Amino acid sequence: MSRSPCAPRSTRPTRPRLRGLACIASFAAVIAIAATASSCGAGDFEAVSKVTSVRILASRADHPYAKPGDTVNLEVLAFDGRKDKTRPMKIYWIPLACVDPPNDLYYVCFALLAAAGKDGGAPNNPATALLRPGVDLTPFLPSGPTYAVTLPANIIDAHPPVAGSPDRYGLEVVFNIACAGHVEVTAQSPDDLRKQQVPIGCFDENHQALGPTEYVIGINRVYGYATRTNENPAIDGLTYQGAPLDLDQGITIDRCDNVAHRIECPEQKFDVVVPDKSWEVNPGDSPSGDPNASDSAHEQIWADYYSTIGDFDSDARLLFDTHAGRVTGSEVKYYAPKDPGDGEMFVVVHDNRGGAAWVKFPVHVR
Amino acid sequence: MRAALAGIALVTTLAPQAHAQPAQPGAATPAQTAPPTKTATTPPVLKRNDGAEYPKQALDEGLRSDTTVILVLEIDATGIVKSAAADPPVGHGFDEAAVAAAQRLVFEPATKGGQPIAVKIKFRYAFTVPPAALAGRVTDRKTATPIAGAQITVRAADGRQQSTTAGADGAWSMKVLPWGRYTIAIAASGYKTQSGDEQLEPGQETRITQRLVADDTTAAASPALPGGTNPPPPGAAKAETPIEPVQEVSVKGERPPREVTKRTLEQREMSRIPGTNGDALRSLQNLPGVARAPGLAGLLIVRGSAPQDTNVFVDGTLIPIVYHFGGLSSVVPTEMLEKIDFYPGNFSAQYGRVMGGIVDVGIKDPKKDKIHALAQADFIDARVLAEGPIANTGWTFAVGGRRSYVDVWLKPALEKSGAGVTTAPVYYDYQAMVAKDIDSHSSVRFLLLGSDDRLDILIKSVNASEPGLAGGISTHTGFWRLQGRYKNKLDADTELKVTSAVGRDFVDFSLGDNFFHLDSFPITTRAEITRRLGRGITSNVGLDLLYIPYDVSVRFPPPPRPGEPPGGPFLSRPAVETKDHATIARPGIYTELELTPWRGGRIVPGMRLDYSKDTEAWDLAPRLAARQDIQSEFPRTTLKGGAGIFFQPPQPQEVNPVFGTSGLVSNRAIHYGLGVEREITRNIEVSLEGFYKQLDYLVLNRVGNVGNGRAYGSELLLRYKPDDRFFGWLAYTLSRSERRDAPGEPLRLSAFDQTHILTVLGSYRLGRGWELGARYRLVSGNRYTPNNYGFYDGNAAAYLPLQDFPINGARLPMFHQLDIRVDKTWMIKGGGKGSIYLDVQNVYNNGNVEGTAYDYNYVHHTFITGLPIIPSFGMRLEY
Repeated sequence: MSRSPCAPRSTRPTRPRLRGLACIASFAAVIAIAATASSCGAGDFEAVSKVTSVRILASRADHPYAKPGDTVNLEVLAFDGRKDKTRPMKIYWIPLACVDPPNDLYYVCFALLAAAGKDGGAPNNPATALLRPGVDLTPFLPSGPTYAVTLPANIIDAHPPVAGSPDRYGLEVVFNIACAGHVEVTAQSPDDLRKQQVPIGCFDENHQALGPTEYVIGINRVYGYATRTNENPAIDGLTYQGAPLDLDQGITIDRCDNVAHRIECPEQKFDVVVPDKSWEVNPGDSPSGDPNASDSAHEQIWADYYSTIGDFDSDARLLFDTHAGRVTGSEVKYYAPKDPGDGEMFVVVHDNRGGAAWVKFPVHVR
Repeated sequence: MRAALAGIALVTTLAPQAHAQPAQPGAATPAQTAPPTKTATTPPVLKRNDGAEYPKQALDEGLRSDTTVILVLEIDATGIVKSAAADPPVGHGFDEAAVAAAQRLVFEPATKGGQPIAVKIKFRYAFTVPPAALAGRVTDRKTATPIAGAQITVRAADGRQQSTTAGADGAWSMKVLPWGRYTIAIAASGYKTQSGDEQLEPGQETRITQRLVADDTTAAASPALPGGTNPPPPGAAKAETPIEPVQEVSVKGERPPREVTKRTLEQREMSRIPGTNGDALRSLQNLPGVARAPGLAGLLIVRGSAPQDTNVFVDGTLIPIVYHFGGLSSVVPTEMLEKIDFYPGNFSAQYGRVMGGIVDVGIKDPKKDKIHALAQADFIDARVLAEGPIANTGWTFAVGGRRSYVDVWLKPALEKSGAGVTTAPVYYDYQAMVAKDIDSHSSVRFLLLGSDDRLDILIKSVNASEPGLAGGISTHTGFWRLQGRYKNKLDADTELKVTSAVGRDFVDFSLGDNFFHLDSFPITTRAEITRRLGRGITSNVGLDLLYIPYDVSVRFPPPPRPGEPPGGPFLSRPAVETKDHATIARPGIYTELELTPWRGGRIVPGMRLDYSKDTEAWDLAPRLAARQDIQSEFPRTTLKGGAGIFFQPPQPQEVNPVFGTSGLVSNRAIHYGLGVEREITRNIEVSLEGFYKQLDYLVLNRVGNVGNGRAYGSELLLRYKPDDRFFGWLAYTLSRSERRDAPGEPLRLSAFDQTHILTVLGSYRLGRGWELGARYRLVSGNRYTPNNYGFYDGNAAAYLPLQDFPINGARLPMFHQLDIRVDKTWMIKGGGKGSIYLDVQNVYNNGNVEGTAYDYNYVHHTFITGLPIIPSFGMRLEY
């Protein structure tokens, strides 16, 4: 079963009363989508906004919707939130050209990777010959936060037409891995190949597989359209307590202790300033079929918040609704940690067509 | 299925012999004065009636009025009363007294064509307030010797007097006096007359001892009471009371089922099962063969079939949704219902296009005696209902409506939690009906019913796992149906029933920039002719038409194919769109024979032919059901069994070129069932049935008819049929439901597999208007597919899990829950009735697991628990 709307998403500070209300809100959402149950009562998990491990926080392409033959520059925002960084985190890119996988299923690309390992792969690719467990692949992998791919010129033509899709498109799937170790091909279970298995992993110097706190595999889909475009949203700035925030200086706040609940700490209010122009029309997204019709939808835009210290009251806030437009009350509340220290805060703005932008700034807690 | 009206008799009641007098189907009836034809139906004739006592409970509660109880009696072919239930119940112990008395009634059985038959009749007990009794002794104050010949005179407040004389021992008595306050005067020769007041209570004997003082100056005489004449005593006055008015009794025969298994819930059961809030359709989930749906969901998961494999009809007309908001409350209020027939499998050929089960909800005809009104409210909604005759036109009517007020408290709660609310969740439903008995053989009825649910909110907090589940969410769903029903007993052997309906179904749902808009105008017709072809042979021939023109427009990411891991969050894949105007045209015809070739035997072969325009295919479905009484008399024991083929055309979205695939044919199921039913007492019966359901040509969305599977198990039902005190049952289902996603693949457990389903429930009338019920359920947990740490999806800004294999490879912990319901009913002056109830779900607040929750990257998980203890309070007024 997938996550319930009532499922806890974080350890962000809340009072039980507020949790109940949130549950009711979730309940409304559940009945809205004719889901089957209203259920609450699970325990707390660590908030997605709390960065304490190796994390990929966002990725973006300079052209989320590119044209065939375009070179697309991908960029990943990754951060190592671990206290012990004996093995530093690096970002590696898998140079596997997974173009137009059947039914657009990303995991079909894994089969290509596994097949490359089995038959030795393409002779002109030095990495494929090493695609077997126990071999450190990192010397052969591009690394760093950016990577460029050039979409095949026939990427659209090679993609079977999708029934119901307003425009034809092509797809290239690009994989990367933020790993605090080295990358190896994983041993696939021969018993049951129907089980979803990941063909690569992150390993330590003893070739022991590392856990989820020390690696993240990222998937990036680059869509090629003949005419459709999409720009990454823009961030004009942040506000802190209602005033513009200097991102270089960040904020300096007092620690907060001696409270029963984090919510009793002083509220530090942040909001992100995204211009109206970022709220692009979503072509073909109109019930009447007319992109210029009044019922034509725009993008949905939201902001994700991350911090290495402190807590947010909400991990992500809606900025623009597809129909209602700019959403009021999009600010997020931040509560200082109980211990002093320095940290970083990240704000990532997404649109619902793969566009993204981000900013980061330091947080000093006295 | 209830047979058509078989006969109507006018009867008179006998003069009162006891305190309660039943209206009897007596000898002087038109049906009996005419010589019976071969196929004429004669009503049962009362042979023995011991009467019923005015209940002590009513007296203790201060009730001092005559009261009538109408009973519905089931009389078997031997004339024995099999069951009796008050309709409507009046409380204060009257119902129990009437039912207890009815159990002792003996009838000459009803007959049809000269053969005794089982019938159901209405029977009336008229309780009159029992008399009081007064007794005493008269003695000399000084010597304490009895005073023989003393005259005792009692005078009621209305001036009526009675007198008696003390015997040789000074004792005297008056056994029959109307209850009330009396002045009692005692006179004896040589004594001073003494008088005093005394309150006499019904059903009680008051004793007094009077010591008279000697008075030589007086002569023995009748004691004089002021203003006193000597009217006849109460007993005599009672004798002048007109006898009971003429009472109409309808005699209806109950045809044996055409199916292997048919389970019928009566009104009282529907409305009083604990944990259902009195919601009729929720009560279905307590029957064997029906799996427990999670949380508030109103899904009907029958014998391991998917919810869409079971259809719900209202008197033969298909309705698209059963519950408001998927499970909050039924779209047809319980008060409108007469009964619910549930067929878990092997159902009659009259039903088709579905391979799971059938639920047919019977709407109650309006009452004919006078105008009745009902108002009910609980925390969720309020409803009103009025019904009765329309002047002297012969027509009757019923109108009802309901509106939820969840929005009143949920809107501020949602806004406080940060959501923008345009329309908080609100639902309506409405019903209107007119009916008329055209003559004794035919009737017509028009029914309008509809439902409307709407919600429009803006979720501002974005879900980390599914960012697409934020922003504007709106839904507006509804339907209405205008149904006409005509029934006619064309001749002694032929019955016609036609039910047609037109209506509209609509769904407007949007989630962000995804939407689903559907507008359809279904037209349905059912017509069936039942004809008795000869002794022991009855044929049913029917027509079943479904015609639905519709417009649909959809924009959503394509769903994963069955067996495929999810393609990722909403935002990770481009949405596809479809806009279509199409028509579902599905005509069907069927025929059945009901054969009773030998005593206690019944064989029902049937055949159904369906055409589906969307698949352009014909489906021919032969079916067979058989029953054999091993013992026809009480305690009846019956063996039953059946087999049949059931087709279910693909869902519209499955044949849609965008969201489905082309070239599909109908899903197919072959049902096999074998069981036994046995009466243990007049009220208790047990049934045990095994079933096996082979599933073939299952449509796997966007793949084809490549799936198959099976569901098998056994069901036990130990049932105490409703009497005036108690109803309840124990239902246990042991089953397994498996699916195969493609040929060559191994079977896997389906999402609808629940190995053990145990339900024990009962409701008991304590007296004085109190009723207490409880329900306990112990059910295997639902299947689920665990997720594991996977990937970060840069396009959707969310993590994707790695899904375990096989699908549904794990099971949630077992579910167990106790629910309790308390009702209190009281009579209101003017013939009304008030009631309140408290329905407490999950009494011991068990944290039942309904699903799993994962953290943002699927590393950790925990169980999501279901609804906590929920007390629900409601009240109702009826006139």
